[in-house]
Amino acid sequence: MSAKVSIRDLRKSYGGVEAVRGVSFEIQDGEIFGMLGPNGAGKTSTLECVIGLREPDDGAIEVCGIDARKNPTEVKQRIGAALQTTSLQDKITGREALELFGSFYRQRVPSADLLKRFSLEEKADAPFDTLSGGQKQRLALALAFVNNPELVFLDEPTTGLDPQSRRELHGEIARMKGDGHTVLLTTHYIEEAEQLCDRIAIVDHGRIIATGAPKDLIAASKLTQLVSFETDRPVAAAALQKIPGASEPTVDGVHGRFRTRDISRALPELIKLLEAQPVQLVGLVVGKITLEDVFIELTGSKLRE
Amino acid sequence: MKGMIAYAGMMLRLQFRSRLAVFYGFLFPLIFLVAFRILYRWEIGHGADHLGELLVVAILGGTCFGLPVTMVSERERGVWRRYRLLPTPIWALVGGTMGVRFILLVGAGLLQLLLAVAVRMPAPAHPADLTLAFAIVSFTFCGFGLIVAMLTSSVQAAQALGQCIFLPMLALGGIAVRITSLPDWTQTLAAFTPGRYAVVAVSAGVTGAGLGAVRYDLAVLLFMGMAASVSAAGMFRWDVHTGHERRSRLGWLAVTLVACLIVGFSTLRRDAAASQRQQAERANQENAVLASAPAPQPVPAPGKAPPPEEKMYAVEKAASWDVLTPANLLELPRTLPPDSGVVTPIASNLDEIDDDTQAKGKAIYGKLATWAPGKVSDPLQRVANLVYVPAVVDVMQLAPLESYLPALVEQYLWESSKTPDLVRQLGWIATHPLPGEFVSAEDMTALGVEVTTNRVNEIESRLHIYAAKYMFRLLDDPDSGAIPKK
Repeated sequence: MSAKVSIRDLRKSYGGVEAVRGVSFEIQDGEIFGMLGPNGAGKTSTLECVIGLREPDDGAIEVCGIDARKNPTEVKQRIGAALQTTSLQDKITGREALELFGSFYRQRVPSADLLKRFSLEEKADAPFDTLSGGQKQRLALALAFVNNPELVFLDEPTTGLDPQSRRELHGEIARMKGDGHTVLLTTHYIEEAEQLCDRIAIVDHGRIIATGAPKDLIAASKLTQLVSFETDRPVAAAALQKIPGASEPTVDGVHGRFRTRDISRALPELIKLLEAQPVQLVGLVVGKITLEDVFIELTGSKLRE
Repeated sequence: MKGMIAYAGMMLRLQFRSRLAVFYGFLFPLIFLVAFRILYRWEIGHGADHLGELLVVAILGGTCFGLPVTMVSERERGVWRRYRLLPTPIWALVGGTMGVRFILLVGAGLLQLLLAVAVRMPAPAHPADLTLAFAIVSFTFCGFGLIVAMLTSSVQAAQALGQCIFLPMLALGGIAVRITSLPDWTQTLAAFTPGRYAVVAVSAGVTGAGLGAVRYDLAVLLFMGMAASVSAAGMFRWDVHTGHERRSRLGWLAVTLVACLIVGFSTLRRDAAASQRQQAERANQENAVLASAPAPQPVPAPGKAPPPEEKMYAVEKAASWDVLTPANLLELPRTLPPDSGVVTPIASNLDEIDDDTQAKGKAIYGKLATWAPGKVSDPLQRVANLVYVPAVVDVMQLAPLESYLPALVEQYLWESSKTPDLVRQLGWIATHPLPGEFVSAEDMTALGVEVTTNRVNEIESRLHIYAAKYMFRLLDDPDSGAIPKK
C-alpha cells in the first residue's frame, strides 16, 4: 500500500541556518504520525513545507499521491491543517469563518456539524477576539476539518492550553483516527506523543534521529532497567553480582538494587538467589524506561520545554 | 470564484464592524470637506472647484492609510498564514482585498458628493467621466498603498510610511493647495507624484471639460498604477518573518521610482513646450491688438501746424488737461483691446476671482492710500503713477492678478479723485507722453509687486490703453459725474 505522505530528503534553510537537513519519512493511511523534538528542531519547518506554507530548498513531497511541489492547490483541496497559532480577523465569528473557508473547497462539511463536533455551538456567533485560547484552538481544528480532509496536519495543537483543554483536544485527536483520518502531529510533549501517536519521528537539529512506534523505540533502546527490592534480612552485595547481566549492584541493609537490560532473565535469577540465602523477598519494583529516557539516549539532551 | 466572492463579501462586512475602519474610511475624508469650506470661505461656485481635490483626499486616505494598515495588521497577527492554506492563488485573495477597498472608496466618494449636493453644490458635470477617473485614481493609489503594505512589517511603520506619502502629496501635489498657487520648485516636484494628475483627472469629471481633455493625465496615472502594482507584486510576502532580501525589495521599488521619474520629466518637458506655445500665441495676440490700438500722438510744438493730411483730435491739440471737455474726450476712437482679452484685461465679475488672488489684490489696494507715488501733489502725475500699477502687472503677465488689479485701481481712482478732473486727466494721459518719471521698482516693491521686467515701452503702451479704458468707462457711466447733467 502506497504511503499517504512520502517525504524524501527535504531541506530548508533560513539565511545561513539549515532548519531541515535531509528529512525523509512516510506516513501510512489511517495512522497518527508524530514528530517529537524540542523547539527549533525543525518540526514546524518540515510541516510547513509539506502543507505548502513554505517553499523547500530541496526534496520531494508527495501527499495523497500528488506531487505537492508541482500541484500545491490540488493538495490543499485534500488536506486540513491547524497551525501552532491560528489567527483570524478580530470581528469574524466562528460560524462565518467556517462558512467562508468552506466556500473555497469542492467538498465541505456543514458548519453546524463542525460547531457541534468541536463544542463551539455556544460561541458560534461570538467574534474571534472574544474566544478563549482553548476555543480558538478548537475553532482552528474545526477549520482544519471544513473540507473533510483525507489528511490532517496539526502543529503543536496543545501548546499554551490548560490541562483540561489539552485533555479535551487529545480526545478529539484520538477520535480523528477512529474516523479514518490520517494525522501528522508535531509536538514537544513526550507524553502527548506517547499517548496519541502510532509512530513517532524523533527530530533534533533538523534531522530525524529515529522513527518507530513508541514501544518499539523503547524496546530498541540500549537503556537498562532499575530493579529495586526489599528483603527480611540483609543480602550481600557480592551475591547480586552473580545475577547474569546485572550491573551497578548496591545493598543498603534490607534494600538492594541493580540494573539490567534483560529483565525477564534477571528476575528469576534474583528469586533463586534469595531462596538460596535463604532470604524472604518483601517487596519488588521494576523501573520502566520512558520515551524521554529514549530521547535523552538518542539526542544526548533533555527535551527542552 | 465562489470562494473569492464569499471572501470579498466577508471582508466588506468586517470593515463595517470596526469603528476605526468606519471612521477612517468615511468620516475622516469629511473632515477635509469641512476644512476646505472653512479655508476657502465656501461658496457654491468655489466649492465645486475644490470637489476634485476632496475626492482625491478621500482616495488617498483610504489607500495610503486604510489599505496598508489593514493588510499589515492582519499579516502581523498571522491571519494571512491561515488564509494561505486555502486552495486559492495569491492573486485571488489580494484581488478580493483590492475589490473591497475600491467599494469602500466609492462609498466614501459618494458620501462626499451627496453631502456636497445637499449643501446646494452643483452636481458633477460629467458623471460617467468622473466614475472612470475615480476608478483610475483609486487603482493608482491602491498600487502605492500596496507598496507601503509590502515594505513595512508593523502597523506603526505602515502608518508612518503612509504619512510620508499622504502629507507631502497633500501639501505639494496640488491637493490641499492649488498647484498654480505653489512656488515653481514645488510645481516641479508635483510633476513626479500622482497627486497632481489625480486632481486634474477627477476635476475634469466634476467641473471640467471631461476626460477627453485630460488623456495625458489618465495615461500617466495608469502607467504609475501599473508600475506600483508590479512593484508590490514583486515584493509580496505572506508573513512578517519571511520575505525578500532587502536588495531584492529595493530592486522592485525601483520599478515605481523609475516610472515616476519618467512621468515627471515627460510632464516637465510637455509643460515647457506648452508654455512656449502659449507665450508665442500671446505675443501674436498682443502684436495684433497693439497694431490696432490708438497710438499716443505727441503734442505738436507751439507754433508748428500739424501735417494737413493727419486728423488731430481736440485732446491732442489742447494745451493742458484742465481745458479738456467731455465732448473732446468722446470724439476719441474706441479701438481698444477687449477687457476679456490678454492685453490690458479688466475683470468684469469680481466675485468669480479666487480667494487667493482676491487677497493679493486687496493687499495692494490697501496700500494705495499711503503709497508715495499715489500722493504726489501734481494730480496728473498722481493718476499716471496709479495707472502704472496695472500696466506693469499686465506686462509681467501675473495671471490672474493682471485682470483683477486693474479693476481695483479703477475703483480706487474713482473713490479718491474728483471725477470731472479724473476723466480729463485720464484722457490726457491716454493721448500724450507720460509726465514725469516712471514709478521706480522700489515703489512697486512697497506695494508688494516685484518688478521683473524692463520692457519700458510696453509698460508705457499699456498705461496709455488703461488710461483710455478708464476714461471711456467713466464717460459711459451716466452716474459717474464725468459728464455734467443738464
